[in-house]
Amino acid sequence: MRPPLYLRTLKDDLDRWIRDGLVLPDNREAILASVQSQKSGPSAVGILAMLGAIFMALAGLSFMAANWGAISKLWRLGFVLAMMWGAFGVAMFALKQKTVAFAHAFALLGAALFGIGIMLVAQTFNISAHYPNGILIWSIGALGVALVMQSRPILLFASMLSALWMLVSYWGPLPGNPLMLAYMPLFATLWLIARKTQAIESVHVIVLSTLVLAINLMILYYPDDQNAPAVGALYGVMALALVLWAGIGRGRAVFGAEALQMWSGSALLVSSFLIQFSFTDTATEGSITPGLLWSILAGSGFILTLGAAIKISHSQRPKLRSLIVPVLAATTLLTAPWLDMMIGSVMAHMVYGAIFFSGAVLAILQGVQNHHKALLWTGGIAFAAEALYAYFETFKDLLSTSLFFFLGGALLLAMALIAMRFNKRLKAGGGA
Amino acid sequence: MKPAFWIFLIAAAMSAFLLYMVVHHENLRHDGQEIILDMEPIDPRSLFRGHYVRIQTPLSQLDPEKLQGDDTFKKGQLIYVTIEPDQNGSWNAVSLSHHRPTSPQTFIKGRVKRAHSRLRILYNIESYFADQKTAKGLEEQLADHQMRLIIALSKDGNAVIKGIQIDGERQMDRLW
Repeated sequence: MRPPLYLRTLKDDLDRWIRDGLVLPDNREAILASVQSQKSGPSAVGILAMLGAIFMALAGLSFMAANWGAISKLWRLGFVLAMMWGAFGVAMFALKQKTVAFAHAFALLGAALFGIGIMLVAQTFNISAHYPNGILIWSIGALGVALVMQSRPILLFASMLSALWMLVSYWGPLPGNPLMLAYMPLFATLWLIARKTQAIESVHVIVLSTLVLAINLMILYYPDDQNAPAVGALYGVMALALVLWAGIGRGRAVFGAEALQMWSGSALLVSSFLIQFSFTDTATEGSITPGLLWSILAGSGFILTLGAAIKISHSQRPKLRSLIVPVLAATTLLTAPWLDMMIGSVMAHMVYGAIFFSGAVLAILQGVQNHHKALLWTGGIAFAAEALYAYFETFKDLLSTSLFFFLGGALLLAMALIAMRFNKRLKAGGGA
Repeated sequence: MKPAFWIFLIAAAMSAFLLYMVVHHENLRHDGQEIILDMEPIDPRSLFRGHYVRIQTPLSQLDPEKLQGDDTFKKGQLIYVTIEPDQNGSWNAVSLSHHRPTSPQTFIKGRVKRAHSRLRILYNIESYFADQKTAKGLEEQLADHQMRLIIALSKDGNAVIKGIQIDGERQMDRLW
């Protein structure tokens, strides 16, 4: 439903357009009916009700955290339980009255009060080491409420709680909590409900937290600093495969594929950029020992990249570029940790920098050609970051840096000239 | 089924979970074996659950080489610490094990947080929640008063804080 103010303005405009002869009088009611049946974004009532519920939840959380001694803990728990039942009761009443915004707001408050109850029990019995698992149970409770209510805001809340649980499990008192792996089925459930409710904002949280979980698991398995470049390379090739497969999913209008491509693209950008920080003069052969698991995962990442590239090359033109670019990128990523050992630190910086710049330029060109803003921004950021890195960090003396930029600049200008002539020729051919 | 039915079920499950947590811990606090540990409260902090005092006991950091039992432990591993009271009534570690001790001796279950030459172990008794004034007061009293932690232990070695002893005076936590 459109807001009443918009409808009133539209009615006035329609009357004016009919008077001016722009709209046929017979179409007036059909236009109004069409607009009234359209779904609009969240209403002011919905937003205010949600914000009110969030404030109420924060009040409850502060009340619990204050540990007020005037009331016994059992009474406090009773109070929280009564509030939770009251909130769910109001939500059901509002649902019956078809005031969906209030129903969702009070159900959100009920889900929040469940967590406050968990925290109150943790506070009462001084539970410390296992408290991240309380957040897991809280998120499962909120997920159940979101599923029943088919509510996007509550699903977002549940997604944020599960992301928080994953972070606290990793950085909390007992790192490496085995329950951390339970995030995967939780992630899958959240994704399914998000798809059902078309909750794209939850998908962003789910994708982002899963990418963070992947880093956490890798750091957990490879805690030694010497393996950081190999871990970065592995993460980069996995992100590259995700970017490509998400791109295929986007073409088929798979829900959430756009968010997956955006965040995995960002992960690819960051990891591939950071790898070059490991190119040092002191690197010695054999200092990186990622082992069998790394080889299996890296091989899987490469195969996934290759598979996606073959699939894309069969559906797009020019075929060769669609195949070569991802394979070259994956190969560069997977050899990067050993590049400085093979060709020396300065050459490694130059070769890797040139490939990184090429990738950034390609992303910008693809972004412009396909009107893909995210790709254009990613390419632009990558280009600027690499330029700053090359200027401040890499080639030790400014003369070498100047030569690198001169060659790069000349190459780009030459490419621009070729592209301009090519465009002219195409236009001339089209006009003939 | 109507959403109201499902929400009723979810609310009932949430309430049952919270009540189970309370009953389980209160039972342990009431029926568990009582032990007393020397304690050192460290700076009160504010987190998700409000103000609390971070507690360190003689069991928090242990040197496997100075104790009987197993010597090598990994981060995140379960650890069973057999304990005995000294002449002052404070309990201290005597041996470490990967497995639950079969002897009738008292033991406490923990998890290794850090494993270097000394082990840093968590027993779920590292935080004592209190209002801001009490939490700060506890830290200030440390210099002039003897503070000990009163713990209840289940048969499985799970620990829950019962209260604090200040200069022999017991301040027990109560649910009501």
